[in-house]
Amino acid sequence: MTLADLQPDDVAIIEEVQNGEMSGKAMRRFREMGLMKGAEIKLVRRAPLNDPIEISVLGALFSIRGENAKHILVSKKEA
Amino acid sequence: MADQKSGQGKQRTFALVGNPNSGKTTLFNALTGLRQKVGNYPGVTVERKEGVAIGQHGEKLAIIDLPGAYSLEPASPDEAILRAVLTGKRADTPLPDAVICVVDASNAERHLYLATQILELGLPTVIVLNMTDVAEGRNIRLDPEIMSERLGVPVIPMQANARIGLPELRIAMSSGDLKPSSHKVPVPTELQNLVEKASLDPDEKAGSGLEMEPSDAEREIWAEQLISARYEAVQKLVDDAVDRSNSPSETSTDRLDSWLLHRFLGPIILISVLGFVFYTIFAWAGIPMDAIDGSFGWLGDTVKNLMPEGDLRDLITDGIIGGVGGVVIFLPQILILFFFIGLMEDTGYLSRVAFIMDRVMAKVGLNGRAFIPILSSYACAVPAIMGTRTIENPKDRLITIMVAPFASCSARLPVYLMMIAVMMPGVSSLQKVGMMLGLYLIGTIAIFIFAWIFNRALRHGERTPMIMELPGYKAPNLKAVLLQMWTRSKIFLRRAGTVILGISILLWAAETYPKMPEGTPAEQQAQSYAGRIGKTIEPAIEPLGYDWRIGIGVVASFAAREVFVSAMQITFNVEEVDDENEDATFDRTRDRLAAANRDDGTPLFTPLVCLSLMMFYIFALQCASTVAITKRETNSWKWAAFQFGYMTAVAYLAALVVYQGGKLLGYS
Repeated sequence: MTLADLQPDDVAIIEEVQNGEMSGKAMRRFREMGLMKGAEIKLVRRAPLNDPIEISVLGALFSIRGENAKHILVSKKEA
Repeated sequence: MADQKSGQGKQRTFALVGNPNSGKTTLFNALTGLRQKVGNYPGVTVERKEGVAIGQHGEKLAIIDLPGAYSLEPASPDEAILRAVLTGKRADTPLPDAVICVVDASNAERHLYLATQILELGLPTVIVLNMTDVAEGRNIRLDPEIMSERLGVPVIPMQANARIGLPELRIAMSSGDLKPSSHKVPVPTELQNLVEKASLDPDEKAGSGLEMEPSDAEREIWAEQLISARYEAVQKLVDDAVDRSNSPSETSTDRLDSWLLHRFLGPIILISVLGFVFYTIFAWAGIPMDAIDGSFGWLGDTVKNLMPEGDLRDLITDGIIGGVGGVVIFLPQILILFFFIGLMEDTGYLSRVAFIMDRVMAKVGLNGRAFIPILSSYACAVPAIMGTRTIENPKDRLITIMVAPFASCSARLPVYLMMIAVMMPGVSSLQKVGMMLGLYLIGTIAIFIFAWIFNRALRHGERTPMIMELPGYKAPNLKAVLLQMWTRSKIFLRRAGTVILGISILLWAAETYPKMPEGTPAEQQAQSYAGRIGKTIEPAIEPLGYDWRIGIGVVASFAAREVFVSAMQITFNVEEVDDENEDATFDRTRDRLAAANRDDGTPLFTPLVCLSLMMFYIFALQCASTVAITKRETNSWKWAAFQFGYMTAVAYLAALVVYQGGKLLGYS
């Protein structure tokens, strides 16, 4: 499952950050922000028009787009 | 260090670094007060802020506020500057003597990611653990002593907004024995060989059998491993120093966001906030604008009475005072816009606006951050273009700058109002409103179309992912907001002021010379250089339906659009009835323009000509201030000239299509 498939308030563990259509260099920033394998991530909410999404990682909030979120593989943690 | 204590010798320089939203700017203001200088790094449009702090012994310490960054691996021009300065690679900024690294205690892991990178540069460093109050509110307690021990540099807890911790920082800064840190993130064992290889110089490599260049895929894997290793090291540091026992699950930011980013309420609140901002601009700015208009008028009259008649007097009253007045008149609007943009930025709301609007802006290849600058452009393109600095990606920023002036700014209003009045005398105000909305809509469509075109043309298929931090909300620091508003306004006054002043003097001279002592103002204008220019360009503007007299107005308004109305008043002999009654002057101008005829006796301002003029004014970049600010913000005359050129070309084509098309359809 990917980050884009999560529902608001779902918590998950990142399994892999794929580059998708982006270059590895461009995706480097995602990893530097803490979106790495093993990190705990929460989908906080979707924007009013469904995209982008707001996520919480390492205690900070970020906005990322669905097109990038679908390349972040996660396993959902059961509440 | 005796020479420093006495305030003599070399002044020491501290670089202030940290993540965006670490409270770095607040600390900079607290350290330097009003002793700061804002400019640009030569060659790039990255803001350069310098200031002077007073150390523990009264000595002066230079502070450079470096751009906020998430990592030393640059992803934006701002971050590239940070790295270049800290590695001594910028000729304009000598390597700082020491670094003050600001870490948000409530966001310690991510901020320490950058901090550990900074420490490894080997410069003497002080770590400021800022926002300890916010962290404590979340039950996060970092132990500065443990951290200091681990990192080998002073760690100073601070609440920069309340000036708590400032004396301790001053003491640390003034002490002569600041040292580089010994902390180093261990390189993963599998990478150690490679790192050693990379540090060999080419000659050694050749002989060592290690000359193979790593592939991109390999580089990526290494990069990821290094990032993980750094985070692990930071985690270790924080685990020992942080007490996260019973952190509350919901912060005040979460509670505010549940309203401000709510699916339905969020957009409603956004529209209300922006509605209020624009109401303020149009309702309140009018008062100081009238006052400015009045005082420049008074100043002109006073000089007229005091000085003997002559060209010098006219140059001062009509050229200089009129020209400067034309710039200053927009200052209230610009100040109000800067104030609200600054307030939204400072509280953290600006990022939320970008979050809500991102989907809309993405349709034309921009991101949510472009929304507020483009919206500001409906009041004035100058603060809009300066406001694009919040857009990190340089191409997004350039595209936003290129299209923003299509928004119908307030300087176009007088032209629209006059043309609508001439075109449709006696129509209901509802029809007028409809007409105005149509004009605004056309400009808006142009923004989206051209953003889409530039997005295709400039990006060459390269895509960058968007990741935008939504910082925790904080109470605005009014002093900092006002200070920023004032520094930005000064830039506008200086940049636009000089350009406008020059152009006003040129325009004045073009309308004054050669002289025709006995003529009426209109006759004088006709045979002046301006009139001759109008006649020269007449063949070019004739297909748009304009004669040479309209041509004078169009040419004159390339300095500022609203000049069109006053130029037309001179051309068509509208004497001001009396200064107090603007409505009467407006009506008289309207009547004179409606009655004006071409040489063959047919009316000049037909509905189609008025429409063609309005089309021209929607699209043309007739604003010397905007050109000057675009030059500053793109750091290139090339882009400023391109913007001027393409917008004017679009204006010409639009007016041509409307006029010739209208004629073909049988309108006049």
